Amino acid sequence: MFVPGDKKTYCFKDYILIYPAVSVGNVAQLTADLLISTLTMHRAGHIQHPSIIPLVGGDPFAHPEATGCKIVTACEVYDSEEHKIVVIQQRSPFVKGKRGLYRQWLVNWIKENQFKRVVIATSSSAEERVDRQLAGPQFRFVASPQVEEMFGDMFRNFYEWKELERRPCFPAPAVVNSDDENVGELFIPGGGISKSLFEDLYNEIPVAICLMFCAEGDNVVEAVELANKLNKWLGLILFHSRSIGGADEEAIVKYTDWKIPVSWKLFFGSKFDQSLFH
Amino acid sequence: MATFFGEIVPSFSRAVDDDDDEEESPHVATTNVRWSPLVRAELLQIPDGKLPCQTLIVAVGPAAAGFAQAFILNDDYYIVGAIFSGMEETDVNTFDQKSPTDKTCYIYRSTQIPDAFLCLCKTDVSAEQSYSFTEQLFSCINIESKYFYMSILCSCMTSEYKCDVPVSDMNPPFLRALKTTQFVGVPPCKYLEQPNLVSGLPAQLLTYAQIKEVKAVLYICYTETIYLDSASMKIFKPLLETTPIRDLIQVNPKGDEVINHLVDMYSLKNTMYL
Repeated sequence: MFVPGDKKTYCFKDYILIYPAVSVGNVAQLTADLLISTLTMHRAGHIQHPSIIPLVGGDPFAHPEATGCKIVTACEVYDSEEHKIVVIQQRSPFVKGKRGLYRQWLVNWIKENQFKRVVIATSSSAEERVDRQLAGPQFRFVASPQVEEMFGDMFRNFYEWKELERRPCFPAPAVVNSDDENVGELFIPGGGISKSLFEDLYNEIPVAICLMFCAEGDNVVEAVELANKLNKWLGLILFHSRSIGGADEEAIVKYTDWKIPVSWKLFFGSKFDQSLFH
Repeated sequence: MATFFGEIVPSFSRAVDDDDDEEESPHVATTNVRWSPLVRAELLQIPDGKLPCQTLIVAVGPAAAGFAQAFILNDDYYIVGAIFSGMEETDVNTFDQKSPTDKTCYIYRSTQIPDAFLCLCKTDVSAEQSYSFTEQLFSCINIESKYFYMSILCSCMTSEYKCDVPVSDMNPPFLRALKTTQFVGVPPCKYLEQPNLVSGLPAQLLTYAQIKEVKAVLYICYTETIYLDSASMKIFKPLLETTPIRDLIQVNPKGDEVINHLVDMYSLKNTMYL
């Protein structure tokens, strides 16, 4: 269930929901971290659900020198009134065999809140790519009919984004290099609940999947690319280093880059004694 | 996934378990709470069916439970309930919380201060079970009092602790804290630094407190031994001076003896130096 913070009731009508599905390499979670920290989004509340493994920690978006304590929980909802977006950040995996329960709840919550659009950010296992997907951009999109109508042309022709290739489903002969990409099923291995969530919302709410192919490892590059793509579409942040005022005055630079949250420290574990290798 | 040399290795994901895809097996061992007849009789008299509570101390794991047994628990406390989770038929159990093999979780209550509860949890509560454990614990305890304080004590291994300093320079055991927004005090140790996280039962309890907007602090002891030692238990000692624990305890001069006894008892299981 959604538990709003600071005793407010929220109305997300006409907001865009960005749902980063827990997926291979946690690319979507990293993307959500970038969005939340760069847009300094406000924490609207927590999601408490038996399907999510519990977790607590310090504030992941705190200033590096901060001394206070603001705890973060396993699943939280962030909103930005200015950009009219909501991001759900889930920081731990699902209890095995229980993600269906959570998905059901989420679908209902999305409908109740009357979101204008839902964007599912996710990733798909790189080792499952077909030959055509090996080279070139590793970003793909999938759009529901309503999104297709509104943005399909723009995605393909203006952004030059590729649609995720569909795959023939299992009993049929595997026509890997078939020219007809529109036959077959959505295939997002390692994509968590993204495929089933997309199908649940398909007919009712404009929904799109934005995904990166990736392998486990350092997935910061994929996360930044995914964030850039989302930003391009939704127009959240202007990445211009513009100087305001004359050349002799101090330049005021607005945003120049994604803001890396403090929780990205020590990605590869603690530091160790370098003399080990002497 | 094929490697450079062509052998096929299974690829594992930190984030998703692909086998999980469509097969939904919602079987997670549940937790049960049993209240003593005395409490059940008392609950009948209370309109909302919940015991009023102002202080709750939850000690999770052998180190925290050992500390609580030595310095907080005394003759004044009696058992009011037991929470059962994850007990297997092969487990040797004395149901007394005195043997190292005991996997029980009891809720104690003070006779002198009837709204103070102490929960000693020595069972292995898996992360999956934590939700139902928390629900069960609070099924009969009313935490809506504005004077309510909760302290959660637990221990983790230093190998899970991430920091800029090499492990060899860390000097364990040491204590870290996390608190809910409502808790305005300052704990007697540092806050848990980024990017460290705590999972499992302690995390679920603190999340519950945050959501219910009550005052709660989680103290985590980072220890480097897998066997119980006195240093890991004594590291919690500064907490005896903190709210709400200081209001509950009587000075126990035999605390150190109890700790030594516990260490002896646990070391019998340790066959390293036979």
